Amino acid sequence: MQFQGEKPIFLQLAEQLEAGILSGAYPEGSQVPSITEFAATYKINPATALKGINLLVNDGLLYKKRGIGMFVAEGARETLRKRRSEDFYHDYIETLVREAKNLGLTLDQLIDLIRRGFYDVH
Amino acid sequence: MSIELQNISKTFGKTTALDQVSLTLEPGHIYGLLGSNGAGKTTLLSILTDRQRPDQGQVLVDGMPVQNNDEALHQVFLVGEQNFFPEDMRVGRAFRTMSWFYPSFDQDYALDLARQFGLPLKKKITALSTGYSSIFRLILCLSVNTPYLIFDEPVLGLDAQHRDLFYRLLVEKFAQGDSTILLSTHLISEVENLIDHTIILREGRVIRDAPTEELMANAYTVSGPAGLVDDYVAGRQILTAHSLGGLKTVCIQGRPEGNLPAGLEQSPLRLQDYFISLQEAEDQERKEGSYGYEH
Amino acid sequence: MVTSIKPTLRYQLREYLLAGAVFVGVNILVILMFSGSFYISVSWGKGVVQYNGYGFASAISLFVFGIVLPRQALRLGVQMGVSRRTSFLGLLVSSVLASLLLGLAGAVLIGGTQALSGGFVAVSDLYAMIYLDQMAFTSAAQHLCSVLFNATLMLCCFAAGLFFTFLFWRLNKVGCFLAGISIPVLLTGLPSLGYYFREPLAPLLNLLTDLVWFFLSSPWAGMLVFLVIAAVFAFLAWLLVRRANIRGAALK
Repeated sequence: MQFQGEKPIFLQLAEQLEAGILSGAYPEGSQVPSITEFAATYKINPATALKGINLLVNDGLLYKKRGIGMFVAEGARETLRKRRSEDFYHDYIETLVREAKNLGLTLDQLIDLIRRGFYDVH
Repeated sequence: MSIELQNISKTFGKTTALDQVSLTLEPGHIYGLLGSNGAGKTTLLSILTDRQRPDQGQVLVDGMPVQNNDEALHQVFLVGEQNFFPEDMRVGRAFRTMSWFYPSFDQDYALDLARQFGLPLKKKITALSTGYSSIFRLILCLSVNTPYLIFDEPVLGLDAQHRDLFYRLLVEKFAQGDSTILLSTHLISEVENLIDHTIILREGRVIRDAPTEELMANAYTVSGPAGLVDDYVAGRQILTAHSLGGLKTVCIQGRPEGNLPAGLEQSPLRLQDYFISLQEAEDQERKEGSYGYEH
Repeated sequence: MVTSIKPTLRYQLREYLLAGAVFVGVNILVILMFSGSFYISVSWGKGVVQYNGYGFASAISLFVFGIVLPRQALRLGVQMGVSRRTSFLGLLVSSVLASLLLGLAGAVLIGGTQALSGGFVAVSDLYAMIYLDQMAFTSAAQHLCSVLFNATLMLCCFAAGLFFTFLFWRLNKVGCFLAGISIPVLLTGLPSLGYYFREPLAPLLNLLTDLVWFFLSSPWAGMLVFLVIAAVFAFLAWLLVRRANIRGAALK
């Protein structure tokens, strides 16, 4: 697994963890790998790994069980889905509508395009 | 327990190998000692371990001067390219001899690592290939468990798989929490995510000594049409500037504040790129006598 | 103060003992071979077999130890976090112990062959040659003198080897060459010069002669001379190495 130089490493790690929770790779209530395992696998400094994990802890997505390790919180998936939906609106919908207006599309034309994409794209 | 290098200077004939180098190493970090070949890294590490005497300055380990001090010297274990073992000594015997001198040497762990890397125990140390010489020495350093572990070019001659294994083991060792690590290397891209504190040595002087995050937060690259770029960089400290046709890319020493003007893009800057830019800037400074330049 | 003298000594003594055991073993073998062949081929049980090589050979051995062991010991020490002072101290201590042990082995060899062969095989040494009227040993005191005399001789040779190995370590190529040719030059040249300039140098030459007489006067005097020479060589060796740059052996 390689980290690209775009964003800070700890952010990328956090995003990958969130993606793992969303997809079910890290089910709710299950234990996630330790900081050491993350650091060793990705060849990063454990302090960086800790920083990334702490982001999720602060958001309530992960919690620590003393002496055992890190676990995925109940409801984490829902939280992430909601957040992703919000982000979806900002990142995609707003951009889509802006671009559509630039091209002079009407609302109905836009909806037709979206309907077409829904069936064409897998 | 910290290590302090105070004003270390060393000259060989007419060449100045080290010039007033002062550093402090604190526990709990993975340090990166970066520099081009010939920058003085190996000399510095030799002086740190009293293999060489400086012309000026001293090294303190836990407050004790390192000269002729067994206790201080025992806190640091250094492996580099050179072989200090007897010519006819075999790998297995070397491991056993380590236990005599270092009670904290983990014999079982060393043997396990030898198995993982495929290092033959019966072979003479001097008969090992370059890669396996490196493997032999990094196993020693990973198994010795002294407060400070120093690796000087640890992956010389190692294939990709073994390099990967080494870094993984290094992180695991560090995560155990008992050792502070210093990696001296010119392979920056491999270690840039591991080292949390970066020391850059150039021609015997320390030109950067800061936490890696801080260092990288203070440099960035901007690219765009040459005219816009020139407007933007006025008054800023430039490290390097390159043009490809009408597209100009500038590496800037400083913090990016706020949004960039339209038309300009900020590109990611990795430690290796920053290091190269820094070297270029220093070369330029020597040529023109001024730091930074504009076309 | 914490030192690493124990593991240092352990390592160095082990090197000595291995080499020393081989050396003694070889000597015994040689004596047996000599005696055996002489007995069979010439005398049919009459006469005496003389073996005087032990003292000389052991002195050469310690000289060679002095050449070979110190660099190895200092290099290993430097890798193992042992200061050069402790390594050097280890060299001195282990060489004293090794000399005494080899000296003892010599005494056993001398006494043993004398007793076992009923006088047929006589192993002798430098001590006996210089200070005793006959080659055979008659008292325990003589054996003791022999052991100590040989031990100090060996120590002296070791110290000489130590000095020379560090000298060549510190010198560059030109220096090594000069030092190398200077030894035979001095050895041949000095006596000639001494003779040529014997008038103005008379006091110095007299001093030297006195020294030689002193040396020959009693085994204890001889031992003292050896010890002093050893101390001088050791001190000079320390001066050479205390600030030296200790590099690894050339790879392969």
